[in-house]
Amino acid sequence: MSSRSDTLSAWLFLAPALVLLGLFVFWPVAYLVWLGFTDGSLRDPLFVGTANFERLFSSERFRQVLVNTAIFTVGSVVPSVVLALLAAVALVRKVPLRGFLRASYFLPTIVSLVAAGVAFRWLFHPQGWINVAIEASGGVPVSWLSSPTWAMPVLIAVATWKQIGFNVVIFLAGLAAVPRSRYEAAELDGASEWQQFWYITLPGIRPTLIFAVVTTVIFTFRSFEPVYVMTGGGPLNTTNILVYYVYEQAFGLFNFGLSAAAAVVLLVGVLLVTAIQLWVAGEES
Amino acid sequence: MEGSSLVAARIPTGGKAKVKSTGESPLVRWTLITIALLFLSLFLFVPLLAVFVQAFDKGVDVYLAALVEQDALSAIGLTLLTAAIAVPLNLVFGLAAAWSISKFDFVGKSVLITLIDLPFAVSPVISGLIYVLLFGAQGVFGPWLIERNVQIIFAVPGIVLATIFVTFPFVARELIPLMQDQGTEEEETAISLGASGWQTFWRVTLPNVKWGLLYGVILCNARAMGEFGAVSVVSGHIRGLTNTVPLHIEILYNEYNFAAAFAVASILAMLALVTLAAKTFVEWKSEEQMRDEQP
Repeated sequence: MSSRSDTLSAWLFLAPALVLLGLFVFWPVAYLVWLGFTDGSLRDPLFVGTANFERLFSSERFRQVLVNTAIFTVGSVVPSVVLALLAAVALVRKVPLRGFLRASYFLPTIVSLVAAGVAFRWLFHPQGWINVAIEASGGVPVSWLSSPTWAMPVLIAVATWKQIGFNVVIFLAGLAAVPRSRYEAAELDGASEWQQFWYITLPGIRPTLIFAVVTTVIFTFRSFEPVYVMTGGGPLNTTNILVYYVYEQAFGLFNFGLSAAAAVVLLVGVLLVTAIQLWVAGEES
Repeated sequence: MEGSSLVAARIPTGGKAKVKSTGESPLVRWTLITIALLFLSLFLFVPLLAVFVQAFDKGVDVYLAALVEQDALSAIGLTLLTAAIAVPLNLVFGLAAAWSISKFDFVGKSVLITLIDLPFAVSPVISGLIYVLLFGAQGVFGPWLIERNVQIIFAVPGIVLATIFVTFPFVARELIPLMQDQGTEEEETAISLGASGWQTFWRVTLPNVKWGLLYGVILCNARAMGEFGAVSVVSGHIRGLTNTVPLHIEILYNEYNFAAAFAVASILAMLALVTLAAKTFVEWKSEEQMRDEQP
C-alpha cells in the first residue's frame, strides 16, 4: 500500500474521532497548561509568566506536598514491585491453585477505588479489624488515619494493594520470555537457585522490570481516591500529595492559576518518567 | 489496570527449568511457597471481604433496603447510562484507531499513539478539573452554554465526558499490539480475492481480534462504572440526579450510614468479581484460539 494515499485515508478515516478528541481531550489539556501561566481568572485570564510556579516552590506547604508525593511514590513502588516479582517467580512453578492465584491477584486492579477506599478506611478505623487483631494479640491499638506517623504508611499499603496484582501479571509475561535453555545450562554448571535468579532471571526481565517500575510510578503519581476518601490530606498535611493539592487549590480555595500550575508540575513529572522509560528502552534495543 | 494487556497475558508461561532441591524437602518448599502466595491472596481479598461483611452487618433486610432506596436506584441507573454511552464510543474509537495504526503506514502515526496515551498521563481528577474550568458556569464557555440553556457540568453530559476521557485508551491500547502482531497479510489476501473493505473488516479483521476487543471492553467497562475522581469533580454530587454509584458510596459513608455505604459498595465489589471472571474466561478463550492457529 502506498504511503502517501495511506496517510491521507488514515487521517480522513480518523478525522471525526480526532475532532472530538481534540475538542474534549487535547485542547483542554493544552488550556490547563496555559492557565498555569495566568492569574487563573477564568473569564479573562492575565498572563503572569512563571509567577505561579515561583509561588508554588516558595511555599512551604507545597514543598511538603512534593516530599509527601516522593515518599508516597517510592514507598508504594518498592513493595509493589518487589513483592510482585517474588510472587511471579513463585507462580511460574507448578504450585497448587496456580490458576486461581494468578487470576485472583488481578482483583484489586479492577475494584473501584471508592469501594476499596471505604473498606480500607473501615479496616483502619480505631475499632476496625486491624485494631481488633492487634488487641487480640495483646498489642496497643493505633488511631491509624488520624496519626501523622501512620496515615501515610496506610495510604502506601492501599497503593501497594492496588498495584501489586497488575505487576504480577506483567512479571509473569516477562518471565515466560526468558529462554529456558539458560536455566538448563546454569543448572548443569551447578548454579544455585539464588544465582539463577540473580544472573539469569533479573537480567532477562530487565525491560519488564523497568516497565513495571515506570507504570507503578505513574499510577502512584496520579492517585487521588485513597487520599480523598481516607485522609483528606491530613493529619497536619502529612498525606497531602500532588494531585490532592491540585484539587484542594481548585475546589477548596478557587486558586485556579496555582492549581493549574501544580497540575503542570504533575504532568511534567509523569512525562519525565515516561521519557526515561523510552530512553532506556531505546538504549536496550 | 491501564497497561494490562492481553498480549502480555497471551505469552504462554511455560514454566522454568526444573529446580534442583537444595536442602529442605520439596514438600516443605511447595508448602511454604503456597502459604506465602495464599497469604498475599488474603491481603488482596481482605478489603473485599470487609465490604461484604459490613454490608450484611445489619441483616439482609437492611442490605436490600439500601439497594432499592430511591437515591441508590437512581445512582445505579446513572452509572449504567454512563457506561452505556462511554463504552460503545470508546469501542468504536479504539477499533478505528488501532485499525489505522496497525494496518496502514502513515505520517504522524507515532504522534497519534502518544496522543492516545495522553489520558493515562493526566490524573483523572485533573481531567475533571479541566472540564469544570471550561464548561462550568464560571468557566470559559460558561456564558455561551448558559445562553443556549446547555448544562454540562453538574449534569449528566459532564459525567459522561469525564468517563470517556478517563477510559478512552483502554480498547485502543489492547488492540494496537494485537493487530500489529497479526500484520496485513490476511486482509491483503481477502482484498485480492475480491472482498470489499467492509467485508474484509467484518470477516477477517474483527474475528481475529474479537477476544482482544472483548478484553479491552471488559476492562473499559469496569473502569467506567467504578471511576470516582474525574466524575466526582464534574458531578456536583446532586442526590438522585448526578450521583453515580461510586459517589453515592462516598456520601453514605460520610453520613456514617455504613451499612448502606457498604451495601452499595458491594455492587462494585461484585462487578469486580464478574469482571475478573469474564477476563479470565476471555484470556482462556484467546489462548485457545492462539493454539488452534499454531498447531
